[in-house]
Amino acid sequence: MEKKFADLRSGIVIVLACALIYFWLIPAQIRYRGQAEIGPDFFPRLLVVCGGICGAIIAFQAAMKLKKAGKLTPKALLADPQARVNFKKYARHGIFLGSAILYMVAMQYIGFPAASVIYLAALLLFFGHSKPLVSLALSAVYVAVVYLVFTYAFKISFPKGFLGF
Amino acid sequence: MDILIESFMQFVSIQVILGIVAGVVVGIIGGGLPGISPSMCIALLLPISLYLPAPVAIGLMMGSYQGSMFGGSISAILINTPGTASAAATTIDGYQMALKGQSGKALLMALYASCAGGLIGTVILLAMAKPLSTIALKFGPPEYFGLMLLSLALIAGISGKSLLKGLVSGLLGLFLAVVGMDPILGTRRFTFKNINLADGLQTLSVFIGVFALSEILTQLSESRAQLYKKADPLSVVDNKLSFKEFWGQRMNILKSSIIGALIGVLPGIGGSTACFVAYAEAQRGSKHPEKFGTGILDGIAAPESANNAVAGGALVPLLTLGIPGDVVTAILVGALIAHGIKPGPLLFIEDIGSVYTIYIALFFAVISLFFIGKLGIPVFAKVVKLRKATLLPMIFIICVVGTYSNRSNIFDAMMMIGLGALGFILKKNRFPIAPLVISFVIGAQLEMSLRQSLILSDMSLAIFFTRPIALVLIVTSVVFCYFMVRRNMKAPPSAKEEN
Amino acid sequence: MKKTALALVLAILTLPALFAAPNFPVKPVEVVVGFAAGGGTHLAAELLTVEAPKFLGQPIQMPISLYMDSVDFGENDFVGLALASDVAPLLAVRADAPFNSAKEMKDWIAANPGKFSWSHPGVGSTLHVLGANMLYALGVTKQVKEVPFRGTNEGISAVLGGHVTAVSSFPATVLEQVRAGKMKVIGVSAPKRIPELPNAPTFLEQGFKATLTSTRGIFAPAKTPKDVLGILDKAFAKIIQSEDFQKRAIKLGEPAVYADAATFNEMYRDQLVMIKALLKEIGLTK
Repeated sequence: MEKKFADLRSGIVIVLACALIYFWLIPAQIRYRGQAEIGPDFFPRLLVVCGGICGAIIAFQAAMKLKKAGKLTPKALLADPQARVNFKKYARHGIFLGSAILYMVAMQYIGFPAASVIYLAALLLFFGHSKPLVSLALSAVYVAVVYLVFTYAFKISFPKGFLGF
Repeated sequence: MDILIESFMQFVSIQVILGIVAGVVVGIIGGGLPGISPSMCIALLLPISLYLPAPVAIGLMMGSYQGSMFGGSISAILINTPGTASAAATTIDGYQMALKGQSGKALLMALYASCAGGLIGTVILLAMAKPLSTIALKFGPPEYFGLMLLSLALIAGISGKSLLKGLVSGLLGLFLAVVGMDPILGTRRFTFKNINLADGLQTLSVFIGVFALSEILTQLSESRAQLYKKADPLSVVDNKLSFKEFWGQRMNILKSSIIGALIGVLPGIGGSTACFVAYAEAQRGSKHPEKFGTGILDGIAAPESANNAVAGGALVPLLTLGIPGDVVTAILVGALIAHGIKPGPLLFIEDIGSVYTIYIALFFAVISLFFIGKLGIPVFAKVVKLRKATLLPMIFIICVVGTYSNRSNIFDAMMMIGLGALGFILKKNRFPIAPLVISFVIGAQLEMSLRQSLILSDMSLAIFFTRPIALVLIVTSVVFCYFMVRRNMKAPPSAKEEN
Repeated sequence: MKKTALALVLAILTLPALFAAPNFPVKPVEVVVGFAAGGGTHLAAELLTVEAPKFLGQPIQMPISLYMDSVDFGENDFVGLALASDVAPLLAVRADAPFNSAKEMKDWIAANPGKFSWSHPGVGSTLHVLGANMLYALGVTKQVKEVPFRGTNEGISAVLGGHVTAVSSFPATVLEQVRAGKMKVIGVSAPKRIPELPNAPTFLEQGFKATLTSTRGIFAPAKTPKDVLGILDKAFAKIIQSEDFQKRAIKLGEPAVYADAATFNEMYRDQLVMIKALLKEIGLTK
């Protein structure tokens, strides 16, 4: 049943997202005052309408199945633990993604090598390593190799920090 | 014939061989590193090549072209990160094989398919350059539209039972492709006044985010202890590829190479589309289409032979018409001109020797790719022996570096994070992610050729039904869709679907 | 006004403020190419690197694939250092097109409304502006269909395949097609005929006032110290006028044309005024 709850949820989210894009995002983000018969907003609008229809069908099918099982009542939806998203389960994912953004911002201030050595060492610990020194050493060697290959062999210039590298 | 022998003799020199080998090595490494595209490899070699004699320079470039086309599959298979755009289709089955402990087998298949594809592409170039170029010119906007539609029809094939979800995923991909400048009018769309989005979402950010990062996120659901566990030595079950297994793919490889070469001939379409079409055709013609996506050799052989065959195809319009078919050949034009070779309609008449030089360089590049790849695979395959707690963070750093390197822009790496989260959410709700990637790749061209056609026809849809090639392509995609959907509905539900 | 600047910029020197003359340059000089790797601008810029160590005392480094579009800049953020090339655009059609000159084409367009289409590599691109200028000079802007393709090469194959009528292009890209008799040139937008295609008439000699060309040059940030600019000005004068550079430039199909910083800046300002007016006329800006 968890699957059906998820489908119902995704279907509703898709329909809402499509409505939001159609009525708010497209008018706000595509400014076109020309006379072309097919303007820049034609294709996105077409996609959003199709997406909305698909979403509605997904939600409808799931709702029908749930109804058959007698689970489509407000009470059942609130009571059933399967109907809720367990956000706690995704706390680590959130921390990981958030820290990644921080890492990229930091990179622009302290440079790619420094930021990466620190961040990779932290990530190694976060993913399961338990010895900080081992992580730091692994991280330093790895980042050095990546840095050297990309800068010297492939001429990519990375963000430099105030230290000059 | 004398000229052919003369051109051939140019290659029997240590300098030229070294040039080709160097090119292949740079290509494999660059292709294997996400963010370094085949065109970047060649652009990088360009300044050096200006100082080298023509055969060495051409060898160097052809070597890196072929090398990078194979290189992309290494990271696609081992770490679920397509090293080049052309390797995106390889990721689908390649990574699944690696998970099953067959990474060595998958890599060997990729190498053999790449070499076979490269050879078949060269032969097609050699034999049919002239007639193919005539056909390529017949492809105007409506025909391109038809071809894009055919690639889109593939979504029906890989979505399995959840067609509706595949459709949503595909529409999402098309929508992501809309971001950036309108292809016809130049109006900015969904750029949120951010200049970094003017060029649209970068293909690499989408590929790496949706494939690699979402996979890292999925693995993160396991406990730390689980991730720190040493990779089970028994988990490597099968690292060899028997001749029988390779031979079993011969028709698949042949068909895919032809598809790759033909699509390569059409200017502006590119390797990734060719690979997806080859993959779709392999699945359509297969006796066990439901196994595609679970880690089978067919799913590697098809795209890998197609993307190396693209190289031969892309050289057809370059040499016969002087029109480069992709970014790599566009850079190649510069190099050839700097060496006094003028690609154009007169090249075959005025300078057949140079044409042969290019053919032979391509041929030798494939040969060296075979040997260098053979030497390299055991080394690359060691990656899977790392603990996940070590491997995953390192892959993540490569993901960041790769998306950054493409334009030297950290914004692209940040977009990759967002797209990775999106891919993860889709996966968690059991939406297939491959359709998103496919439709993202073809989205811009689809919209562009649709609107180009309509401008030319004064907004009449008749243009799609009055031109024979366009009509055939459109009808084929509809028929393909119909059969795939019917077969998917009949197929027994797979184990994955059940639980 | 960003597009205008894009049409004119070849490369920009990025100079860390730390450098002080007279020992400038003490580090390799970084040149940013504002266009895709392997494109005409990139290749032209690569030519600069060959003789740089000899005349500049330091090599020129070119970080690859830095897109100009990801940086926001205006017409006053840079000053010109040197003009490196000056290329005339042209309008070319398939060899079997039913007209041979600008006048015949104009009449054909009038007689066949809605039949004429032309391609350029994207709205706001140099060749779009220059092509629009040619058609504007012919007075046919309202009667033609404009179909953008990604890159001139795709446009050329569309012309060869008969999908569109004409393409706005630079000589090097269509040269081989014209030589092979697959395409013909209707007119060149330049004050006088160009050496690569001596038989192709200019629009001017056919009585239409289209002479705008595309120039490539080197720019430096506007805030660069005067003495550093002076050193660079002298160095690029020697590099671009060296025999070796000229030889390689001809090989690339883009003969080097040199003008020093002062002349180039004047030219840049003049063109800005001209292009601004044109963009308004063809509806690209308000």
